[in-house]
Amino acid sequence: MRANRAKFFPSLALLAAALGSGPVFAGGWLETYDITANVPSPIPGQITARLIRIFHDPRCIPFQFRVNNTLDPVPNPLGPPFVSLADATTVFQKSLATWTQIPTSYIDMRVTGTVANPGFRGFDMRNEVTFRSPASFGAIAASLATSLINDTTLQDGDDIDGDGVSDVSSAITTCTVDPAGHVTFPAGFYKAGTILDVDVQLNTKTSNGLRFTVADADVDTNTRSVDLQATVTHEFGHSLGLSHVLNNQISATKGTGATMFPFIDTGDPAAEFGQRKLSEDDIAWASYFYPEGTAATGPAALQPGDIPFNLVYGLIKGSVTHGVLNEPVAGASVSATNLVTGELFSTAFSGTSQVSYNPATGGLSVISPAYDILDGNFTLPVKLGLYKIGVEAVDGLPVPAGSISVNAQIGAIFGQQNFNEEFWNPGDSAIEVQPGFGFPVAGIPNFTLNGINIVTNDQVNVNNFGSRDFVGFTGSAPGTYYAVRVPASQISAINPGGKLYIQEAAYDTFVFDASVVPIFAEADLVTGTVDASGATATLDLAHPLAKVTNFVGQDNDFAPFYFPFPDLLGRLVQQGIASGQIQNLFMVLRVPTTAPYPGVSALPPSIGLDGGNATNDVPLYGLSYLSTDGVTFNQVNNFNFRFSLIVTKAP
Amino acid sequence: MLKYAMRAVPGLLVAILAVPALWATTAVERTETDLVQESAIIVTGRCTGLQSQWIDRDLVTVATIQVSEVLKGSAGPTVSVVLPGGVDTHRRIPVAMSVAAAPEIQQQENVLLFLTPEDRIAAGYAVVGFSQGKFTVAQGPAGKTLATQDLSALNLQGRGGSSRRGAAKTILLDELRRRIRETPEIDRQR
Repeated sequence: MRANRAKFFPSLALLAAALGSGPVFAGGWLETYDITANVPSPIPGQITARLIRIFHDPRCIPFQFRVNNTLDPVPNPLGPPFVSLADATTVFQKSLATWTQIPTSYIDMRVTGTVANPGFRGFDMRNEVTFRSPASFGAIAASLATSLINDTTLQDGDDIDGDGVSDVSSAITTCTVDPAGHVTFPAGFYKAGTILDVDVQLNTKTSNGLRFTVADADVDTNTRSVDLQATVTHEFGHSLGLSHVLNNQISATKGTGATMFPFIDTGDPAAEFGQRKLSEDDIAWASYFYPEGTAATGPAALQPGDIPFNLVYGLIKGSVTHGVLNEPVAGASVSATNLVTGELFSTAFSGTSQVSYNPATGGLSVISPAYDILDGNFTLPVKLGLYKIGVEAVDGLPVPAGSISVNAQIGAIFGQQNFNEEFWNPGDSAIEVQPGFGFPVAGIPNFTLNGINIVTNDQVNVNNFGSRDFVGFTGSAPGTYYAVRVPASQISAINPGGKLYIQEAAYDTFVFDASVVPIFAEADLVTGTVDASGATATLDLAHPLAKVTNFVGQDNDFAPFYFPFPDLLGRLVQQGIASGQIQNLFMVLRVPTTAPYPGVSALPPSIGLDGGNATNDVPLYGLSYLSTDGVTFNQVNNFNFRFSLIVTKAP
Repeated sequence: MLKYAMRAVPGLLVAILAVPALWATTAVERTETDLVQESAIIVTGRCTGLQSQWIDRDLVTVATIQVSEVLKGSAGPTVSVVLPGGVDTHRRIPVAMSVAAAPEIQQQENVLLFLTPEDRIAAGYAVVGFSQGKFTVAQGPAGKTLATQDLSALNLQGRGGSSRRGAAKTILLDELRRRIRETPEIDRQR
């Protein structure tokens, strides 16, 4: 039995772990550090660095990119070049316009010329888009931003990048760009986080680069070929200061996610096209950080076609507290789902964090939750509507904390990213009966709703599996059943003599095409028996304890099936076990009964599998079963299916 | 390419590390075989130092790794790993460079690294596939050594941290050694 439940271990010495690389991003925004206050940290000789967002100062909007013109046509690592730099530049403009044309945001980014740089991009006060990248660069593309880490007064003649040339002038009031692409800032005061230089580099190297396409007809299933517009729309989102998000599936009918989701499925043209278009999440954050109509002059002043941010958006604010650790959570993903449309509207990351900075080395260290995590606060920008507010751990599925932010990594390092997803209710607490019920929360333009304070649940996950090794089964026939047995003894051992809320089954689900929603024919909780050897099982599918048809899985994540009346179900099961009527529970998931399956791969929705290797991290428990007819369930000996039964010890 | 490779896999299974999704701002999502083949060296070890520095006009952090085992290639007792991004306060106007989803290594962290030469510094290496080639080495629930991308394995609190959900991207070090042995054209040494 692996009933994963948070435990308290003897306290270890608190280690000071230095964050290896520089600032990344967090909380809906890309991160940098603020050391303005110069507050000593608990580590002698070091100071506290607050995680803050990077942003463009209004004096530098419109923000101007230059395209590196030293590679034309665009190199194609898979064959002869076929995209001209002019065509690529047209795509850049189109992608930038996607952000610039948001009516509620005053962000304005443009390509205004070229730069002849035969080398790599760098901190040179030129905002460059380039197809050149170092040999060691193994990404499709990256946006690299250099920002202030102090509140700073830039003075006339200051050389910001150290090239011996002034980058600051008292003779101007807005940023200017010379013919060579160098930006000059107007003298004056700037907040920490102000972006000084942003570059986007795209990988076209033969060794590990991508073929970038610009025409719709060229978007294909070749995974080393990617739509340029989709790629740079994402990168320019970073360039304006947005971080990655967890939103990869907008609703039960829309399998695409936010443009700022960190993965792009280059084998699925529909997913590539989908990433070109901004989701509500992307739009909301670009608007929140650059709110239109919030100044009388300058870029934030209303222009024809603009819509005031406050006319469209309201804010939902609250906090996330870990229900077991009783600590504010750094980097939990909080979401607002529209109750009418069922669509995920916006997401945010909880927490305000800080780290210890070593001026001698540039190293950054985390020390303890009490020092590093100041609060678990979050803000969600929402339009008029009713929402349910959910919270999810950044635990690797669908994205690891390392792909989100330092803030989220701090939460992970301190063991906070380990709770089950759930929804907010009034009086939210660690012990809940129905974690799947979300109390309606109103989004009202020009209004801030406070007090949506979430406490993550203290639950017991019966996980008869280890880490995920495979997903499958790609060859499953329509109507195939996957089942995992939970012996009565496991359930009885959770809270001996006490009551249980049997609340949900969580299925590790996956889909091969990112544009497709993994929908299963049904999910069930049933009773059943096994033969003496456990080789075959008989499931009472005709009398399910809980059942849902057209079960909506999640793309590369655990998908919860919330049972109705968990307290009643708990009593029923415990009584059944006590009387001998219930020997096992089975969590069941059924593949769709008809083919072909949707998506360019035409593969069935899949489940996470543990095992299949010569050695495994946990035993192969022999509790997973497979059936093609719903009558005979055969034991699977080489895998543990990753289905989790989730219960709460009732008070 | 990855997708076609998947379809060619005999039987019903598809390795999760072979999924077709690619990193938008980081790297092409690679299988373990990809990582092995693209690596000049593969090492396990402990991070003993971090230092921000400039390479031309690029601000990076160099992690010093004290090598405990070389799984592929040849490496000395320490290797220098260049991580994108860093902080520099030793200038009139202090700055930081931010790179979305760049790999990070903690001081004293035990790591497994798939590395490729970083030509911009002497004897330097970069992590293959951006953050995909960096794993934290920790003890698993059954006492076996795991290489994982789940930072909770570090669990500096030393309490309250048993993972409930089971993060992805975790491999047994023994299993990885076996796979490296079975990957063709591998030159190993200890």
